[in-house]
Amino acid sequence: MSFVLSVLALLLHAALLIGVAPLAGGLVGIVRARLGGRAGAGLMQPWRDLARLLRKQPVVAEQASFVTSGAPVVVLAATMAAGLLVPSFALGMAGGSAADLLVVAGLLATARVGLALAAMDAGSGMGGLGASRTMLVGVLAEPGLLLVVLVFVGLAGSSDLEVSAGVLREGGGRSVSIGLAAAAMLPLALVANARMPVQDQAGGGEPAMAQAAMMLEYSGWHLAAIEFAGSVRLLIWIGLLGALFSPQLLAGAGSGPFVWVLAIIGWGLRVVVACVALGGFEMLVVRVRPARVPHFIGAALLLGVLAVIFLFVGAAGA
Amino acid sequence: MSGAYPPLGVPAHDVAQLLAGAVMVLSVFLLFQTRIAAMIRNLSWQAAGLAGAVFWLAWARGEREFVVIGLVVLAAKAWGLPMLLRRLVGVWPDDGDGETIGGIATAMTGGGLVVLAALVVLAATGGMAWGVREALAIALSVLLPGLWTMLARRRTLSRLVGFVCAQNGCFLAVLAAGDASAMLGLALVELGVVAGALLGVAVFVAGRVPWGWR
Repeated sequence: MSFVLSVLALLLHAALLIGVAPLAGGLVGIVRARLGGRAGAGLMQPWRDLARLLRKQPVVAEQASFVTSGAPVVVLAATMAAGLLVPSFALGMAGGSAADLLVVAGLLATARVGLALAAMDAGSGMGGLGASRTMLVGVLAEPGLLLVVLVFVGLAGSSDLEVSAGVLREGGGRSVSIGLAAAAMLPLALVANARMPVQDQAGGGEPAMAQAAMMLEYSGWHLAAIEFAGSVRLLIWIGLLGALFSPQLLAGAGSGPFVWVLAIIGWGLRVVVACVALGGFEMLVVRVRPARVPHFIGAALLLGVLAVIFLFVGAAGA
Repeated sequence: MSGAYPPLGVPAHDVAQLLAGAVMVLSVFLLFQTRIAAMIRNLSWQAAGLAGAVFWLAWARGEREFVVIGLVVLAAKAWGLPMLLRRLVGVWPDDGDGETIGGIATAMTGGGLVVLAALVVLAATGGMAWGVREALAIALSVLLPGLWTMLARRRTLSRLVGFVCAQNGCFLAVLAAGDASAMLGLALVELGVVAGALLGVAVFVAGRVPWGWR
């Protein structure tokens, strides 16, 4: 892919990410509402909410430090940086050489830590509770993610997302290891996006809102930035799952705009399917108690361990 | 490093291995369960995965015997046996719940058993093709958690579930060998043994006879 095409692909990817991210959240909301027997707020509601928040002045607690004001910027910047690294429709985008799985995980962790610090900064009880729960979940989930990364390092010889996707596109994978890694990634994606059965986005009760509790102190464009980052994070995970487990649907490095159009349609379908599946899943399951959350994440960790074991079984047998 | 791995592109092999992998995951998650209803549901899905693998191989290899075997597994292990076990729970509810082990720590022992299975298979099957070695490792990884369930659980019905899980591991091993006549024979023998065990539990332990079930 020439430099101009790679930059064009990146710009198109960024535009899709920014334009579609709130719509994905809206689609999940519609599915949940319809399955719950309600009409729902509409696909554009998240965009309308963001526009309303952007018109409002943020209100910050008197005793809050610069951390509270700076965190929304850090959260949005880190999440957007991660989003730009995870390919949505094409490999070989400009900056693709930095698209390492560990870098993406680190950027998402940076956003999470930034929000947790801000939640504790104002000194409110709910914020601190949400921050502590979110960090606990992160501590448990990250080893699972590292095991999945290890599987791709074993398969592709690199934790680089583009290299892994390229190797798997050419059929350089092992079905059992890949299947187990995919099974491990799904609960990790739910945990990272604060979705059911770990957290209830629609719930207002104290145990349901670890993620939402960290945003209670925010208003105005601060809140808009954090909510937008949350929407982008959902698309990042959908993109990660797509790039790692169905890389054949991505346009290869060096492909032209015609192939991009097909790949963008494919990406759109993946996002729709993922959002509908997520909305349906959230209506089917009940939220687990906070004390049971480590069990849920432990299952993902176990799947990651099994994926690594069978990677080595395959390697020894090859 | 990718060159060291056999490529994908043999869908028959990949899908069958994936389904066998799903059976293995369910056998490890059997250790996770503390409620008998969840264990039976797990067993039912495990048998459905096993039947799916058999049906897939029947289609991929064009062997009609495999269809019959798959139907036997689906009807008996995925539907019939779980239904009978649920009925036993109904007449003997005190035996079902209240297992003191389970949860993620116990499931992690399943991970250890899978490591053990992989090491044993790798050491013992040096000359075999990698696909067969992987399938045998999966089969042993189903067998060992089943045996562990039989050893570690207190309740009779939980142990029976572990017994059937271990049998599924044996079945997977024969499936890896690909001998249709042995598979059909094994499936029927397994069903006979399980039926005997069920009858024994019902008559001698629960003190009820099957036709008295409501």
